[in-house]
Amino acid sequence: MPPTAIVPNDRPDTEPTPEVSASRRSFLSWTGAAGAGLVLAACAPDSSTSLTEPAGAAFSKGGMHPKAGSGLVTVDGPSVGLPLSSDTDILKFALFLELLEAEFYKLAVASGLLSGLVREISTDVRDHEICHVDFLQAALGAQATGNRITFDFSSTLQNERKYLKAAESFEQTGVGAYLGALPLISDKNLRSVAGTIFTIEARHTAAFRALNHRVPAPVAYETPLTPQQVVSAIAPFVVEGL
Amino acid sequence: MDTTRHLIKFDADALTTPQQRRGFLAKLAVAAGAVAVAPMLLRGEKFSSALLAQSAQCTFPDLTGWAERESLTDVQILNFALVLEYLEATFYLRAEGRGALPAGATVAAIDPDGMGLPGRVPGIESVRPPLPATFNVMQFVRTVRNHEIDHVLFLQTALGEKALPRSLFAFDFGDAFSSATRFLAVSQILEDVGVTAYLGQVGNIDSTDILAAAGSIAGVEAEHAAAFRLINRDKITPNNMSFDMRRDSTEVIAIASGFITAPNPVPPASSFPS
Repeated sequence: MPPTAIVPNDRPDTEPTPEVSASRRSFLSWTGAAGAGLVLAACAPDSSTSLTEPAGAAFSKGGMHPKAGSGLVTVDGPSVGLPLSSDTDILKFALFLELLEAEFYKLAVASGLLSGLVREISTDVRDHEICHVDFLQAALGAQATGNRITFDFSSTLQNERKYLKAAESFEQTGVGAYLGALPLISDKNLRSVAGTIFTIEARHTAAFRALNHRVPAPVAYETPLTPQQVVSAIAPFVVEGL
Repeated sequence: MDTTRHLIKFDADALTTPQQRRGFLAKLAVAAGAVAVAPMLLRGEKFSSALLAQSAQCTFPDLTGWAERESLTDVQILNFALVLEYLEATFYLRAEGRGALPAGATVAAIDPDGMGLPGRVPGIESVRPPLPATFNVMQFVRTVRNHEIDHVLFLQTALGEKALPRSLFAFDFGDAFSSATRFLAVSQILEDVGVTAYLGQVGNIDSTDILAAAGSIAGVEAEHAAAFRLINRDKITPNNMSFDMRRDSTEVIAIASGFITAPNPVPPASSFPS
C-alpha cells in the first residue's frame, strides 16, 4: 500500500499565497472557496515559472469539499492550436490533456464521492497524472504556461457512476491521443518518453473499464485519435482556454 | 532465404533436443527478480531508499538515451516482438484451450512443441476480480490469449517470409499452470515485461507506420498488465510508478529466456532476419 502522503514535491503543501485576480476572486467566491483556493506556487524547483493552483488542490488539503456539481477549476496552462506543427506543439497539447486529467482526479478524490477501491485507484491515477503534468511542465519550461484554462467537470461529479464513466472516457481519449501523436513526434527521444506515458494511460483505461463492470481489455489493438478528434472529445469540459 | 540462414545461427540441433525440465521456481525467480529489482536499481540512482516512499512515484523517465539506442532494423524489431508474442500466445493457449481461437489460428501452429497442454488452470473459474470489478477472469484469460494470437498473426503477416518461424522455438513454463495463483502471477510478469519491451524499441523504430502498429499493440499489453494486476490485488502500474519502464532487447531476452528452452541460448535480436 502506498502512503497516501505521496504528493509530488512541487505540490503546494506550503502556505498558500493569496494572489488572486479580480475575475478569479468572483469565481472563487462563487464556489465558496475564496481565500482557500488560489495558490501561486513555484512549479518546478528549477524554474521561475509560476503556476496558479486550482481550487481543487486546496480543497484536498483543507478539508473543504466543493459541493457536488461545482466542478469548475482554472489553471495556468499552455496555449494549444491545431494543426500541431512541431514537437513543442505536441508536448503542449499533451500537457493540456494531462492538466485536464489531473484536475479532474484532484476534484474527484477531494469530493467525497468515491469510496473503497474506486477511491484507492483514483488516488493513484491522480498522482500519476500530476507527475505527467510536472514532467511536461519541466520539459516545456515557459511554454507550459500563459494560457488561462478553465475546466468544468460538474456533469461528471454528480455521483460515482458518472465519475467512473467520465474517467474511462478521459483515459481512452488520452490513449488515443498519445498513440495518434507518437508518429507525429520527430524527435525519437521524445517519442520514447511519450511511450512511457502512453502505456500508463492504457493501464488506467483498463482499470476504469473494470470498475465500470466491463472487460478491461476488449480489443487486440488500441485506436489512435487525431488531434482534432481529441479536441472534440474534451471540448465539452473546457470552458475557456482551448 | 533469411530464415534458413538463421536456422543455422540458432543451432538447429537445439531444436530437436527434448525440452529440459528446468525448475520453474528458478525461472520465476529470475523473471520476477528482474522485474522487481530493476526498477529499484533504476530509482536507486536518484533516490536513497529512505526517500523512495515519498519521491519514487514522480521519478521522471530519461529524456535522452533512448533514441537509436540499439542498432536494430525495423524488421529485426518486429521479429523481436514476434518472439515475445509467440511466447505469450503459447503461454495463454496452454493455460486456456477452451473457446474458439481467432480465425486462421490452430493449436498446432501456435504451439507446435506443446500442443496447447494442459489447456486449463485449476481453480481459474472461481477467481473473481475485486469489486466493483465484475468481469469473468477465465473469460478474460481467453480474451488475452486471442489478443496475443492476433498479434502473432499480424506480425507474421507484416514480416512475410522474414518472420522467424514458430517452429524454431520451444517454451517451458514449468508449473505456471499448477494453480490459478501461480498462473496469474506469471501472467502479470509477462505482460509487464512485454510493455517494457515495446517501449524500449519506440526510439529505435524508423517507420512511422510500424511505430503506430507497435504502439497499438503495446497499449493493449499495458491493458492486460493492469487487469492482471487488478486481479492480483496489486497496484495497476509497477511499483505505482507514473511512467512505464523501458528495456533493451538484450535485457528482455535475458528475462524471457527463463521460459525458452530452444533455441538455447536465445540469440540477440541483432542476429534476427532483417
